[in-house]
Amino acid sequence: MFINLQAYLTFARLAFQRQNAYRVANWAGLFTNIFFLFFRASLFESIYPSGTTIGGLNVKQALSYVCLTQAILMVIPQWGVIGVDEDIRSGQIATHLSRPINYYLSTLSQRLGSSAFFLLFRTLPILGIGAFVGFLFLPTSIARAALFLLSTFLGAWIAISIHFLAELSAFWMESSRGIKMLFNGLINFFSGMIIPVTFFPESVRQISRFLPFEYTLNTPTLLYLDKGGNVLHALLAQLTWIGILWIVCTILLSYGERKLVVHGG
Amino acid sequence: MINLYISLLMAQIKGQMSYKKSFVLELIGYLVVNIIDLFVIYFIFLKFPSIKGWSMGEVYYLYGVASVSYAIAQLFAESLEKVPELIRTGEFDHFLIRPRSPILQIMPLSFRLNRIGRLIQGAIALSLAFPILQLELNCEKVMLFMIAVFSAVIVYFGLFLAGAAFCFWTIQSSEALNAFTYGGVELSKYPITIYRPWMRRLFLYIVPVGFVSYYPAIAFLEKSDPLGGPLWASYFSPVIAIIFAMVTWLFWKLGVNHYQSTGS
Amino acid sequence: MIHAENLSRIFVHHHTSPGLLGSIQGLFSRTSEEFHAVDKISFHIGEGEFVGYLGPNGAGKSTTIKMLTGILVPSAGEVTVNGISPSRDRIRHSQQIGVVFGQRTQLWWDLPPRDAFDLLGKVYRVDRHELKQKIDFFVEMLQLSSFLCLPVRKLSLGQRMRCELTAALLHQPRVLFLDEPTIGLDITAKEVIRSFLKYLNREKRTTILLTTHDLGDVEELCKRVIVIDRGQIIHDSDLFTLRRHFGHRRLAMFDLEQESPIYLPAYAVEVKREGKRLWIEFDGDQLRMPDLISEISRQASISDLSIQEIEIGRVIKQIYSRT
Repeated sequence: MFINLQAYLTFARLAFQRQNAYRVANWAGLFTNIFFLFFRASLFESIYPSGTTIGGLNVKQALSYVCLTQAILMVIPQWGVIGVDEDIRSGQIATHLSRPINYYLSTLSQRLGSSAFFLLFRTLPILGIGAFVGFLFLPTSIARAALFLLSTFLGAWIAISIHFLAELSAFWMESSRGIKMLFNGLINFFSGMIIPVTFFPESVRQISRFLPFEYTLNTPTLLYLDKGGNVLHALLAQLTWIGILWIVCTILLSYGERKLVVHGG
Repeated sequence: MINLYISLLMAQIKGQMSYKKSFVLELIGYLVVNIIDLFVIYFIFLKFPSIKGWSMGEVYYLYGVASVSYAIAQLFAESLEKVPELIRTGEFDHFLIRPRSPILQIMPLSFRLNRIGRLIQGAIALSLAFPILQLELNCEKVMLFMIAVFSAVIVYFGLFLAGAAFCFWTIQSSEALNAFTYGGVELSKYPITIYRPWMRRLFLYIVPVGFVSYYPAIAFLEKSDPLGGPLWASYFSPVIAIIFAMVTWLFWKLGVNHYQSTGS
Repeated sequence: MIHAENLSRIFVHHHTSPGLLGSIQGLFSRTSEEFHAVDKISFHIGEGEFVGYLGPNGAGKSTTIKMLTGILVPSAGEVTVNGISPSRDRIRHSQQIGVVFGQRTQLWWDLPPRDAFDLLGKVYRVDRHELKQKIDFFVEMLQLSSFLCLPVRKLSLGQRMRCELTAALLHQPRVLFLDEPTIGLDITAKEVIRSFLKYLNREKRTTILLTTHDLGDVEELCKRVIVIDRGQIIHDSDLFTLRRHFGHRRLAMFDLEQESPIYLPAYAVEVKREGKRLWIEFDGDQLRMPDLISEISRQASISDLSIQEIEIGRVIKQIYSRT
């Protein structure tokens, strides 16, 4: 199967440019982001009994964890719309599906394009601030930083696919808002955004290992901290989930398409 | 006036209920999302001994009050978040043509019944707190609780209003106020002593979300205050809340004026 | 009723250079440009008048309406509606006006019109008994009963417009502002709206100010026309004078006994020919009607003849092009 890479790169580039037009809004969002960085980091800053290691992390690592997750939560979308719901409800989806372009891939590329924007204008500033105030320690090597970036890319893919799936529900319901709310809640929690996954009790940890959510934020973060166990296993797990979600999205999309044809949207 | 508000509200709810499936799902979804948050506190206390001298029960109390207050404020004021959209589409003009206050007309617009999920969650948090704390409820404590909720509701309402007013000058930057609305409730979940001094001072004295959540709570829970605040601080909360709300209301009026003078 | 004196509205546009550097620079100094959307206009509209407010796009029509309805504050000058200033006394002013926007709805999208009417009755503090009477009246006059219980999102444009009108009139305003109310409507729907507006103006003496691009509206409804262009009033008169002033061009239709070429005198031009029927447009100021008739009858026998008023659209176009 020949994939029109150039087309998808164009989708990504256009999305990046579109996001770039809203730079002012981004500064406002960054402002809020920074507040939340302090909210969440302050908690661990003050509750760690000195010199202890809890859930496998010492206080500096825990703070870094918080800083990292806050830095990449726009790159690896923890909430937000990616346009599928809107397309379905407006009927535009029929146009998109009739084009010789894979709708899943094009939507993915667009959101990844936006992610690239956020990588530059959210992640970097927050990492900078985090390092400045002492929340974050710098990566031990360039290799580790590169690993972090790769894992972030994979994590973004997973997260976007999950949102794609959630928004597909608009085919069968008047609004996907309810399902999205549910998924958002699950992503926010299991990804480690609210508290590091390492602090989950073992019983919950067992469950989350079999869900895709922790492979969005948690995996790249732990890889950065060199606490993610075997690097290859971690990346493989992410790739596996990408594969699974891709297949599920494609299947559901085809069901939705069929419904469109039969019922006329 | 209240009559009108209720009618507009009923109409909104009726409109929402016409989307039955989503309505139920949203109700459930929101409840689940909020319940998960309660587990987060539990998980933290499984691994950590205390939060700056606060026990799990005490944190649940603080959290419960914050949630209940925010939920109540949200039920009334969340529609104010629609103001940027209303300005953009020109729909805001419709409110100026009618002989009523725009705030009153906007408030029922986006009344989301599912926000009750957070109210329920707050109630659950409180019901978890009380058996753990084994406190004796007396008149004073009930008063402190009501003061806490009342003051917090007013401050949150003021924050929503300020957020909306901000949009009259710049639509794109409106998200910045989320740092104080969502941030406010996030911050109120935990004792304010855990935050760095600058943040503590900001949320105690300027955006008094911290003030109205912290002081009534330590009075209720009979804890000592490492910040050395006066004993009457908790009873002062309603006053502070009302003053804050009035300031934001003035800011709103300035905003409407600006809108009418520049036609942005 | 509506009084405007030296009414002006100036918008200030700030220019910032593009790019990040430009934005930073913009924090310290900005070039600004003044745009006079409305420039010292004055007019007076008496009670019970039906006035058309015309002008090309961007002329300042909607800006004027916004000032008249209280949405915008004037930069300079005075405006009052029934003696009340729209911006200084917003509440009292809005109680006595009704507004219909052709492009946006003032109803609630998910609610049936009946609920919307009830709500607006409460908003405008209309007495319950009176409200019911009014609603019944409009339901009958505008034939709303068949869709009164359907949510607004399911109505056709024509049906929705009739509801918008009702909504604007429930509180018996003395002045009605209409902003392109017939846009997008088919001819039958337009007819219904127009005849209702005529009734309203005639029987209830409601003062009506109508902005429109539909010249059929103007022709059928307006007794007076104010034309604005580039922020200034370029014409203000009744329709008859308008035609007289600029409508010196007239159209005559001749039915001839036989098909034959006609040589026309100066100031007359043949615009259409269908066999034995001839349409001739001529300049009424330069060429008298009797002279044209005698010239044509010299060349061919006339079996029938009719004179038509020049289409108002052509008149308006002429006004625009004059400035």
